Amino acid sequence: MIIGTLIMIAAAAFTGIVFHVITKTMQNVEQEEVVSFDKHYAFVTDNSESDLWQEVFEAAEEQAKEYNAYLEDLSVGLGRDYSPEELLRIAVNSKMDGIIYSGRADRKVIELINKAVDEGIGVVVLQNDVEMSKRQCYVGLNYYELGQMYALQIDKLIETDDLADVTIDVLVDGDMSEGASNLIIMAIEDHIREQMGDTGDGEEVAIPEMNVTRIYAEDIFSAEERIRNIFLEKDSLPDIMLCVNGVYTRCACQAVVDYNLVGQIQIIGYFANDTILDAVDKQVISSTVSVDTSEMGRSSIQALYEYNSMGYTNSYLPVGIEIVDQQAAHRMIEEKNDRTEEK
Amino acid sequence: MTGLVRRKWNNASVRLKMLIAFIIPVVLILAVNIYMYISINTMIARVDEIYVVNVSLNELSEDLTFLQNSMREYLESKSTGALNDYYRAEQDYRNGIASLDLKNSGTAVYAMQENIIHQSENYLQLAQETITAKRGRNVEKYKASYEETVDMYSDLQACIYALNNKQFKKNTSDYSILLSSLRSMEMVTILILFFIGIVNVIVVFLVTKSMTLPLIDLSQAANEVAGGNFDVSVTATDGGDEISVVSRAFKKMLASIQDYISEIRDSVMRESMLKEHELVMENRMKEVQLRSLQAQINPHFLFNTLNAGEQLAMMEGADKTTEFIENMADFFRYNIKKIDNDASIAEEIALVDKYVYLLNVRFTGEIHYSKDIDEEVTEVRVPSMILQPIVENAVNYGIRDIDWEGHIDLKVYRQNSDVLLSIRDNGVGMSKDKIDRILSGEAVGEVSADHAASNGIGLGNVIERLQIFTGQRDVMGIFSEGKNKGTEFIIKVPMHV
Repeated sequence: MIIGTLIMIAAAAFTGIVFHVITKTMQNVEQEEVVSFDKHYAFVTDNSESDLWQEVFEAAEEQAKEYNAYLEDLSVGLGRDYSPEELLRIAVNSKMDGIIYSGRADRKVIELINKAVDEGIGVVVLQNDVEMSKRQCYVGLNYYELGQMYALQIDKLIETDDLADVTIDVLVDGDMSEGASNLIIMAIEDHIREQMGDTGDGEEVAIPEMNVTRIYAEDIFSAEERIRNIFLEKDSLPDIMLCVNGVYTRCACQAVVDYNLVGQIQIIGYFANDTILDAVDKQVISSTVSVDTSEMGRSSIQALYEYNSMGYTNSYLPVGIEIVDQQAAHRMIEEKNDRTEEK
Repeated sequence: MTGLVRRKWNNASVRLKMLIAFIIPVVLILAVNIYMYISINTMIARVDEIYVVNVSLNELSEDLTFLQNSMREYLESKSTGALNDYYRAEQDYRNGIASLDLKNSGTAVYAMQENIIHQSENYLQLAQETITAKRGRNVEKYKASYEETVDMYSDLQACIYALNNKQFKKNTSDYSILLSSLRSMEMVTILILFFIGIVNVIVVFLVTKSMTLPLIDLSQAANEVAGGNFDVSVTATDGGDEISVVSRAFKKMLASIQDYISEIRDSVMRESMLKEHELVMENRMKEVQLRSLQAQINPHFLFNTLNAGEQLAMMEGADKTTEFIENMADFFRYNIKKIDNDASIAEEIALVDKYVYLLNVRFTGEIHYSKDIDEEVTEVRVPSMILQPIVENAVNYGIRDIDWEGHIDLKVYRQNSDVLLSIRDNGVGMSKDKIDRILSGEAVGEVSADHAASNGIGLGNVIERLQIFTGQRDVMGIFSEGKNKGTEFIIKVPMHV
């Protein structure tokens, strides 16, 4: 009798505990931890899904947490694809504390950036500078430096002495300013002239023919189609293809494989994600330029925070770049694999 | 602690035990049920609450649409109705925005909410400016402002949609977790209830068994006792409940009955032994008595001698002597022959006849003897030698010493189912006191003291033998009307013994 009663009481108590645990778990499920933040920053890019911007966003988010700030990718969940300028408008109207912007630099964008700055919102522009705006800071590459890097790679690739026979296609983002693309070209030319012993005495030095192709990503797949068109439409294909964009690099890489032109067209890429590194390792792409995405992310948040707390910040923060050749790509892949295994 | 509880439990009444055995499981099951009910209700309420945010966001979106439409309508028509609609919609929207409280829903959601709130403020301000411009007929301005509000409106809707969607995704996952929790809760509850139910049944079974087992034991013992077997054992517990009390009482009762029965058995045995002893004694006494009587009569020698005398008298031709001796011989032969057995009344009368003849020879005809016999009853059997001693007594104590002529009358007659034998004399009579003493057996010595003059059988012996023979106490009556008025002895024997 007593044992039976005790068993029943124990069973009842057990039920109580189980119920309590379940209820508690549910309460935990329902209510997330309340996280308060001091600053609310917006992250606005043309394609936040791309590997480049993902890496930048992650680094920036990490940095934001350190400053007790919250970085929000505004393009998430809006129901349709919003253009960077629309997202910028939302960010301005949402009275954010700061905006990180990467996209076109048209009049509308300049107006919005100016409006934001007028309302006390800090604006940091990434990659392609909106030079005409009142943006506080530009965090990006030194395009002349980038050009020099490309030039070094081109050097390695050109085997003939007659540089005039060599054609180089430079694929740049439509959003990239003329100034930036010119800087790249200029850096390459300067480097080649230097290599060729141009003394600057007026004697013409033969330099490769360089064509700049601007690709306007009007819609989501247009970049790929346009790059394909280059392969299809052109009578003579370039010897070297410079891709100053991660997406273009991938597209070009796929195209040379598809058209069986590996080795014939040398590609020098931009950015170093897994696909591109793999392509470099297999020498589908001869080399690529990797951008320090985490530095880009960190610097942009630092600039915003600096502006919020002190009212001013550097107007330009450079981002480190480096050449990734086959050897380096191989090493990086191995390092990545080791890290994955460790995890 | 356990010992104390056990002791208390043992001492508790059956009613209390039943009550406890019933109440504990019921209370436990009830408690589990109530707890489950409350928890499940709370959860269901929470499930209901889950989508409340989505509902309010949808309402907010509708309010915004209505606001935008009413503004547009006002701009198109400038109607008061549209303006009123606009203000109402604006108020509704402001309320909706104010009621948004997603601070606890995570940083991302909170940030999105903040965006919506700030955009709404800008939007409402711009809308107000547009309305004001319309009122002021500033066409250019309100057109430009309206264009801007359209953009902001679509941005806001997109943001509300994004927030709604995010919340919906989160809520859906919450909902599925809640649902699975509910299911697991349900499962746990069912299992626990099932488990408690089984334990409950076992406990109730054990409790009732502990209560009914002594009862069954008791009833079996009672049946055994009813069947006559007192040698049964009842296990009486030391508990304080009614059944234990009854068991103990029954055990006590059984012990008492067993004691009582053995006592009765002992006393019956003692009594029967005593009776047996008494009977043996009585038989012995009778035997002794008989033998002593026979020894008193001692007739053989006399009888042979008398036979010789009779033959002698016959040879001498002395007829009277022959008759005398013959009668005497018959008298003694009867004595020898009949003393052990019963006889018919006729034989007894014949013996009296012979006795009276002998006396008359001896006393020269002094006794006047008459008889009145109902011949129908003469074959009735009586103990032998009952009439002669009475006649002898009448002669010896009634008429021997009287001055007048002595008479003895013998009368035998039937009265109902009895035969009465009356011997009446006209002698000295008998006092009442003496009659009583004779009838009670005390005067045995007195009436037959004169052995020399009698055949040795006293009235006491006659009465005793009659009593044994008939099995009745009332066998003889003695009647005397007083001194010198004679005495009547009446023997009563049943027609059929």
